[in-house]
Amino acid sequence: MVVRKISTADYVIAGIITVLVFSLGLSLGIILDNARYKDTEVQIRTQELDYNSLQFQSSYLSTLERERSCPVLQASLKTAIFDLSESLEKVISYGDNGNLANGDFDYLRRRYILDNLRYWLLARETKKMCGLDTVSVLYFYEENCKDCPNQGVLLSHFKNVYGDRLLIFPIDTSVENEPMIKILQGQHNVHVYPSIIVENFKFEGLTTKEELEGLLCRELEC
Amino acid sequence: MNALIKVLLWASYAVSLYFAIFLFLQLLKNKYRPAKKKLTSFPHVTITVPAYNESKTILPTLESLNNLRYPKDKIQVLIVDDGSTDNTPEVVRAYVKNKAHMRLVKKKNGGKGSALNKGLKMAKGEYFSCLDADSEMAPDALANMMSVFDKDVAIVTPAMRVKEPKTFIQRMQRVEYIIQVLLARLISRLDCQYVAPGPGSVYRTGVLRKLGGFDENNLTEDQEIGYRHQLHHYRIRHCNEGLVFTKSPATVKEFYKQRNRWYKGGFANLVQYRKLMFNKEYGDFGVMQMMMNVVRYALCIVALVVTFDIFIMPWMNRLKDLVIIEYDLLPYLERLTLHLDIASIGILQMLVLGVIFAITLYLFWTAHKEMKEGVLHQGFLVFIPYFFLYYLAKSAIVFIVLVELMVGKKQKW
Repeated sequence: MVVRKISTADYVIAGIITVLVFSLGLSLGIILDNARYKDTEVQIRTQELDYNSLQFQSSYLSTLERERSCPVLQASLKTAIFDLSESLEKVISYGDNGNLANGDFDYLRRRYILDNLRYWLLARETKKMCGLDTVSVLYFYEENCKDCPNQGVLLSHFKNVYGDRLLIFPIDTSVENEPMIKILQGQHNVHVYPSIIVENFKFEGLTTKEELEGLLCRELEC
Repeated sequence: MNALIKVLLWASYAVSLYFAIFLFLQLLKNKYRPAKKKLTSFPHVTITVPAYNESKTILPTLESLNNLRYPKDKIQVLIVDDGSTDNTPEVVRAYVKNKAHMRLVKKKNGGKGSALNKGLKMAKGEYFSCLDADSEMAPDALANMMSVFDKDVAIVTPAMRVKEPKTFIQRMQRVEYIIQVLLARLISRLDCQYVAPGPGSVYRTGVLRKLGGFDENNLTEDQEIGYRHQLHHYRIRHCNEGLVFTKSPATVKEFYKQRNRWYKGGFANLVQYRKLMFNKEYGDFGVMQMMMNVVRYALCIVALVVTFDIFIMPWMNRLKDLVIIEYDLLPYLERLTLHLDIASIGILQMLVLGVIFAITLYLFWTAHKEMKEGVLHQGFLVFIPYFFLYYLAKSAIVFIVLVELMVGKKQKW
């Protein structure tokens, strides 16, 4: 017959080590979250600086040196918009993975929406001024919209097709505390998601691959 | 990822990490030392070989029993033919001719449990062993296992190895069995063993008879008898030197059939012996092992859910995306860049999984070392899927078994 025993000490030690591993992971996680947040802030500051520079370039060009400097402005603008979309994707991915505190995530999302809108306006002005061969698409979506992921996939596809000639500015309308979104929605009369504004034309609901292809091809003269 | 999956995932991480650390502690406390005790007397042992249509595999089994380094006058081998419809009786009869310690016993078909009980009824030995008709004992296995018995021990279990693995799935099972031997050794020190494997376990005949013999209706009678010994506070010990080689399923279909039976039997036994759960009267077996037996199945289901959510769903979404863009992949491929954002990976998740993986690797390495087999003996191609796919395959079978149990599907042995 077995004289039964309970290895209490082993259970406690295993428990303590488990808690220690979790605590270490949590602590490192918090440190990394802060680093991520700081990194994103640095990116935002750099993008703000880029934006100020671009705005200044634009103002300068509207008075002087238009022919010679337009290509420089065009290149800078495309790079800046590309960087913006990359860092926005990163923030969304951090948010989806729960790598950023909710407050931080909401704040960064709002900042990116504003940046997107500023660049959208600048892109339109620059196109007018320098005759850029670009198309700007303002893309309105919301979190629980059924067709939005499909619209996102199609827009990404055409971004791959046309590269930096297609400038997409995604606006997440689920961000409630940003008045600029309401102003834009009102201005373009957007009530259905997804909706896209290609230059001055509005398309409500899912815009199919064929429709988008025809539209973009017409705008970009392909 | 929705909240429920996140909770399941983190609960699984915590439980897996806890048990991995617990096992690691046991490994540090119980370094392997080969048994040095030599038998001074040789108790009489009855070995029963239940056989049903085993004409093609039984001869090596009998040969291994005939070659045991144990006095022949102290062994009684009963080959119980369980109503075979092939020529098993003729093959056995021809082999046992002129071998006084071996005997063929015929009975109507009634399943493995009934064949073992027939052997138990006829056993003359003070100890009772069984050997599946597709398994072989190493020459010193019996003597080594007998040396483990002391007054408290009622069962000694062998170190099972997969015999001559040929197919990929057999090679994976060989790796699995090597790990199982180490785990059996570790939990044996805590009196937590609950399976007395069909190939080669040795019992005290008196205790086995007192407990009523084998359950003839159980799908995993070797596990049920282990639980029953635990229920009555009998000690089960493992013997690393009791080498037994067994044939493992060679195809996916055979593997599925075997595991389906094992898991169904496992669930039934857990329900039958639920009163042992969290029962302090049963020491570590009650508070830890029984819980681990439940958690093991739960982790299988979580592993499936998480795999589906983290790996399968995203790939299904990608396929859906392909349909949306009408398979126009060229623009995507032209701009394809590989950039891994390390910062987006959760550090806690990485740390927990890293510790679990490191402990698993250490257990893996130790298990192979103790069995004197190189870690990559079965090849690198076995090593990777063993860690990443084999467990998932078993989890899928557990899931199917659960569904079958819920819809009330019956299964024969």
